[in-house]
Amino acid sequence: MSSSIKIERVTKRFDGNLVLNELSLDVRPSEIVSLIGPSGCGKSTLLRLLSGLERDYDGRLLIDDQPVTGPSRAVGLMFQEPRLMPWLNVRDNVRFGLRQENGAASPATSERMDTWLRQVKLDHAASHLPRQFSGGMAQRAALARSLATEPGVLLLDEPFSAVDALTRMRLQELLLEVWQRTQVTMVLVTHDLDESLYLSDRVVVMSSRPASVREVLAVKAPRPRDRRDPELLRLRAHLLEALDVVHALESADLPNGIPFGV
Amino acid sequence: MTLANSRVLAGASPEAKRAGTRLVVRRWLALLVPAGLLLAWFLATDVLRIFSPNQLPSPGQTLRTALDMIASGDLFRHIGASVGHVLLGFSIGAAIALIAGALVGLSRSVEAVVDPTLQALRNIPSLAWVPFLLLWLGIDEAPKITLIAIGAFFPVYLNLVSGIRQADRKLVEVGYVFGFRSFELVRRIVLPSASPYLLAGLRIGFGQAWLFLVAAELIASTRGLGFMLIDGQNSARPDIMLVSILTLALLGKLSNSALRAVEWWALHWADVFQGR
Ligand SMILES: Nc1ncnc2c1ncn2[C@@H]1O[C@H](COP(=O)(O)OP(=O)(O)OP(=O)(O)O)[C@@H](O)[C@H]1O
Ligand SMILES: [Mg+2]
Repeated sequence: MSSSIKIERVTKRFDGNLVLNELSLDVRPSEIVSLIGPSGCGKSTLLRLLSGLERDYDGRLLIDDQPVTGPSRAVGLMFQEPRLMPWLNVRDNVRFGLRQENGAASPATSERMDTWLRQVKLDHAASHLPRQFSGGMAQRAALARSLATEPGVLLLDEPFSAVDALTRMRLQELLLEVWQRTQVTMVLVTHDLDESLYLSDRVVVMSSRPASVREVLAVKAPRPRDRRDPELLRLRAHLLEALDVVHALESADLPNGIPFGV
Repeated sequence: MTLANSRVLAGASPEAKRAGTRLVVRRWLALLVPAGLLLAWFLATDVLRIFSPNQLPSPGQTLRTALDMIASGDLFRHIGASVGHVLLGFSIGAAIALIAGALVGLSRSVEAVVDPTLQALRNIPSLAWVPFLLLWLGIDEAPKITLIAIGAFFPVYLNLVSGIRQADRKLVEVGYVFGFRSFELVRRIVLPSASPYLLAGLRIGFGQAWLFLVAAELIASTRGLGFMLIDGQNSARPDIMLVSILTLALLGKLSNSALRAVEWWALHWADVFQGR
């Protein structure tokens, strides 16, 4: 369940506007990579390209050396919002991506669903409807749904940005637990520097639009990590500086530039 | 069942008890206006005699007529005929509306071809169809059923189209990510999203079917509640007319409540404001 990702000189335009400019990045199987960069630089666009939601690009996108031609079960995508189907209970939401949803789920499937529900700590709430959920619970269900199809790559677009700080830390732990178990390759977009450093093997700093890779930072601290690890704090200071540079460049280029949202 | 309602039924806290009492009181409130009207009717006829019996028969007289018609089986014969008309006409109209609504909702090109015409037809009042339907379909059951089907068609069609068009793009995208093909997207995301609209459309369409029923049964018929109305008029029996009208009101109310119950049961997932 862990795939490699190769992004080779990918260029993406929207109506002639350049968003990604010859962006290249390789991700090893089982690696966790964070993408950070100014708001509007094209992080979500890159994830949408990888998931096959967005097409028409130049360059090459390979998952396990296979070109991305459209959405595939090999790639899961988790959005900023949970996007659960409000008419389905949690269990049915979690197995939403599986094909044999028509009542007669095989015992093996329903056992796997139970495992996922336990993993995201929602087994007690399996028959609840999404409207009865807090933001954190909903995002946990969404995580289980993305993983239930057993993708080799999980893409996460600011998945925890809408929950409070404590819930966010819990969700980060959960994500690491899931990763330990599945070894799924993860690409995570976040505006939270601490999150990126705590979770990932590498942090990729993107330049402002048109985006390319500005810097790649390896996080060597062993897991389980301490959030106050001096190594992480040092990298954090470095990232702040790097982002400041991006910011400065941006405001020099465009007096009314896109505000930098951290 | 919603969480809030099940708490009310469990009736544990005083708060919940109060809410439960409020619910029961509200049910009875519905009888306030009918009871007032009944009293006014009684006063205007039996007591104050503002209306003569051949203008407005008294409640007692109307009840006697109703009981007579029940005893003779006439009332149920008419009800049976009307319910048959409504069910058949509604089923046909709603079925066509489901197909048309789904096609138009899902495809902009079909919409461009079909929708303007339908919007124009929608504005034709029910009675305006009658002469043509008689001309084309004779005076048998066919024109009646067709008229009712037309009445049921539009609410179902219009609601289904807007239901499909308001399906959340973000949810549809979830389906794309899982590689759903268009049929699966429609069945598993678009149609469930549209279901609140569709069910409201079906309920309104059923109400329309009752409204169009009377127009339909005014056409050369020998059975049905619409016929009873005409028959009462022709034989100067306002009591029969009243029985017909009250039965129509009752049946309309019953079917509306039944469909509301279906809606409530089917849409318990919806996270909506339900009024205070
Ligand atoms: N479908 C689209 N059509 C046209 N332009 C688009 C489309 N999607 C994104 N863009 C543009 O592409 C640029 C990059 O958008 P994207 O959402 O990828 O940014 P982002 O880095 O994820 O930003 P944020 O951090 O705010 O989420 C933006 O300028 C946006 O306006
Ligand atoms: Mg984004």
